[in-house]
Amino acid sequence: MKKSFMLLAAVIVLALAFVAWRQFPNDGVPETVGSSPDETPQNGGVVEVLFWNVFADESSTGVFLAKAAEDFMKENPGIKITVSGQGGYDAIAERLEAASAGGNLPTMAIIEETFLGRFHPIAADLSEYLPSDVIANYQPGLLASGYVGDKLYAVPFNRSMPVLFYNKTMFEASGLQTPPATWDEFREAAKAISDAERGIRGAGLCWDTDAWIFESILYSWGGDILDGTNKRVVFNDGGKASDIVKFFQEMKEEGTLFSPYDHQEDPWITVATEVLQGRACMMLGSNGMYSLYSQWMADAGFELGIAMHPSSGGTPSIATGGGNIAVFRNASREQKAAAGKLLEFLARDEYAGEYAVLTGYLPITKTAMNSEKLSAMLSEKPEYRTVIEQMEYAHRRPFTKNWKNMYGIIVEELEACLSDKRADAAEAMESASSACQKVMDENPD
Amino acid sequence: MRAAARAAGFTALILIFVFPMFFMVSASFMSRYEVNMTPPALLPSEFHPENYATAWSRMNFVHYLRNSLLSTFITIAGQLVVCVPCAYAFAKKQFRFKKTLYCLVLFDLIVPAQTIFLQIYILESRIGWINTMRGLTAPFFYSAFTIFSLVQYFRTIPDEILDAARLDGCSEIRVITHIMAPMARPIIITAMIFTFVYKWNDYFWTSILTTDEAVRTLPMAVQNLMPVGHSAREWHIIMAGNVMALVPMLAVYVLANRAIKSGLIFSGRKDLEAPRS
Amino acid sequence: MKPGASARSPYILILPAIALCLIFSIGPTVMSVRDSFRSVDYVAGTDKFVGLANYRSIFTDGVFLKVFGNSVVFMFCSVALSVPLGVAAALFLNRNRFIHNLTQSVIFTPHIVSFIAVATLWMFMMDPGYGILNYALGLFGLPPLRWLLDPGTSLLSLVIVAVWKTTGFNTLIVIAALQKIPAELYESARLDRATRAGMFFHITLPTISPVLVFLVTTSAISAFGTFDIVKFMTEGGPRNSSNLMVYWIYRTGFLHFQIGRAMAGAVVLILFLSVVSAVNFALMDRRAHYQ
Repeated sequence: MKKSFMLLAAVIVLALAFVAWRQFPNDGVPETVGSSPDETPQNGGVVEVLFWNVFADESSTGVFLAKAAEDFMKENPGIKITVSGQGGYDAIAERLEAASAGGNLPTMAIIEETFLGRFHPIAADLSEYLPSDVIANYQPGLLASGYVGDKLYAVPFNRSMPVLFYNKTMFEASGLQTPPATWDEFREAAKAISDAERGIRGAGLCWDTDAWIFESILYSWGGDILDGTNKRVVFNDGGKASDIVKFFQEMKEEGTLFSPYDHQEDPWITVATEVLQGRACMMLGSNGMYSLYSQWMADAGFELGIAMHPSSGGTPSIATGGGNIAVFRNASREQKAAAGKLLEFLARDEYAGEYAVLTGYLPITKTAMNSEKLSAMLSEKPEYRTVIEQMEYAHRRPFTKNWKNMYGIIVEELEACLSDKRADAAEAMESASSACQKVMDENPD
Repeated sequence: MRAAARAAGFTALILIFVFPMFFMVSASFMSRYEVNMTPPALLPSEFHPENYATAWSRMNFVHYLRNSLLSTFITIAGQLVVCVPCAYAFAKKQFRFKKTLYCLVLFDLIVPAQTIFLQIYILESRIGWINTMRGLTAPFFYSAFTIFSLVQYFRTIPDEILDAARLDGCSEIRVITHIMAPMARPIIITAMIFTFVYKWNDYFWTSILTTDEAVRTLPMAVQNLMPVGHSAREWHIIMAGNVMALVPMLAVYVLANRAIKSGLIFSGRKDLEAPRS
Repeated sequence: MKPGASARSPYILILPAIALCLIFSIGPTVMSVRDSFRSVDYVAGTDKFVGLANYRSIFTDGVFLKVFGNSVVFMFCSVALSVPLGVAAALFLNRNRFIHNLTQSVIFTPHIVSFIAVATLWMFMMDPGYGILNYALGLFGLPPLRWLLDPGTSLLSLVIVAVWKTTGFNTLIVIAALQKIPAELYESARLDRATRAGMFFHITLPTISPVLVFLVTTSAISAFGTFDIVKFMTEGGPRNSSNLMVYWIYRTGFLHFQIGRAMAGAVVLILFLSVVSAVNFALMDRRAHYQ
């Protein structure tokens, strides 16, 4: 028996020695020669481009991209674009991680803007593949998150900002006229609308699965996630985060705020359902949902209002969000060039404008504002202009590879604070902040 | 008194184990409103068999059924080729390092493969096996559990029969296929049914080792019925999908029910077992 | 038969299994150990030795310790419920009558249902609003629970699901063991006027104990491998109250790209399971000698 164990140990030691000199697949691959010949089967000179879409194939973005790809391929017969729905920002991030280990990345993908802090090492510099006038035409506030240093690794696509949605019909029935501009007004308005007897609450709040709404509220409250050095976690400095959480906990106790964290369903759908069915009046949400929500609300016999994200007074400061498109440097040169052409195509006024109108996402280029469809929509729904004006107040997002890990920690605590078993706000935010600091310290960017 | 206690026992067991299954089937025929009703409805007020049609088309059922059948049967065939000879050698042959190698082979019994999935994923992506049927099946041709149960049973088969066959000039392969396998039929069937259950229901490995729908199997199709992003769960459709994914499994179980039991009863540890003649 | 062939043939017979085992089991385990001492990042393309930093990081991390504790509690509760329940059901059903056979088959059914189906089904039943379990509690005058949403009950809810799924399997295994006990043993005991309890403790339990040890070992190990229901039903929440080891490894390695930390956790788990198995198998050997 003893002998057997010795042998077993020997086998394991040998195996250890064997794998010790394992080579890394993308170790020190210089950017421009990063083509892997086995990745690109050149079928009769056709360049194949695989494009990971964050939305499902049957969603409005999926349908739009499929149609755009078709138009593009008609113009460029040598290129074959395959758009593949991946089911969410996190899903794409996970698959990019996994694909980097194995070296089977797509040519291009939509990634959540902050995830570039993580994925820029595998992204290609787009200034090589996009003409400078195209780059100059993107909205600068949206393009900023595509840069790392002076290199452009991603360009905007489905970009959004949180806005205040409200049920205009209900709002006006409560005798209110102008939507709240500050958080105190927000709380007062919610009080005025709430009606315990009829089970109506003035507002609903979802922090979002990546703490996006929390982040934006924090900015509007004058706070930030990381300090200027990008090393120190500051969101609870001076108890700022716990003040915010307490504010909403109090609203919940007053019976003027609906919390989705007492329910098992997806928090977004729970809040949106309350608002769309007239049981709650106001919510913060992505302007990208504008068309969908106004449709749903019209179906329920209400009118949807849209207004600027409230702030604590002074100059507003609001998070941006949504997806940018990155091209991966391991793709062949031909693939990257084809991907660049597709980006250029999507930035044309007619497509950028159509996409903004179709979904409610922000127009990604300056000239898209002049497109027929978008100007028609703006004259029809003038209040949508507030969304475009909001772009001016865009706040820098946390740019670190650790953000995904950190928001997981933050959201966990935030949810506990707004659930039935109300967690102590000060304690929860303090523990989230120190856990995040530990992550930043252990994994410097 | 005793009869009453017994009846209560049966009722409790059946209620606990059958009721959830019954409820799954019942809910699969309900309308969208009925599944979310309070108090919950036990039976659908009117039948909605169209839930199955919806689930069928939304799941792309045929595609996943094909993948499930393929991956399950390839794995079973692979285990028969890999595990049966191996178990035979460990049970009936003498050779150097036998104990060491047996320890090695049983390693998986101690360390569940779920703990090392990340490395298996990395390995498979290096060799380009992600999203392939071979990537989804080949690692499971070897199963410590199958080998262990086969070895336990094979040991109970008298050596004399095998020796007689060898004297008649049978090769080792022939001894396995013509003497060992027929004699060990119940345990081989049982082991393969367990493999069937494991592979048919496997969600973990399918979700790790595949990233697109090409070779994904039925549990992933059921997952696809759960909403991604921000839409409501449609339990009636999900339950219909569950029932559909379960039917083939249930058919196998009903057909093989007797074999499973006899296989289990005749397997087990050698020291508990009077050798059967 | 040639003499040389017979010396080589056993190795040829075991070669495929050994090869697959080395490639897909031993190799990855060794790699896990290696990576647990390194900082590996495939996206940034870095791979450097960091000594014990990963271990230090997970052990100073409240989450890892909590998750490990959860896994131990989960294993303990699910084994302590599913094995005795399996034995009780087996004693009750160990007869060859129609109703007994039918019930045996019926309680085995959850074993053949996929974890996905089980998870969705129980999520549906555990919904705090329209779920049938809260309705049932109400019938007995009990207050409704928030099942998966409450840090106090989420782990327990997962235990219930796991026990429901595995008890039938345990029952069948125990019945198989019971049927191997020679009837004469009971008859002679009956002649000696032994009580039912006496017969259980002096005949039944000692005879089936190796099977029980086997069941306890395998259920404990598979309880530590639990993933599907965690991922599907709670994603480890709320606040990691239902997070278990394999899901933690998945989340740390796959979602938060900290491969080194994930592997350090995996190694701790492997060591722990080796100890559990070693103790159990030693116990099984000792038991077997008593026979």
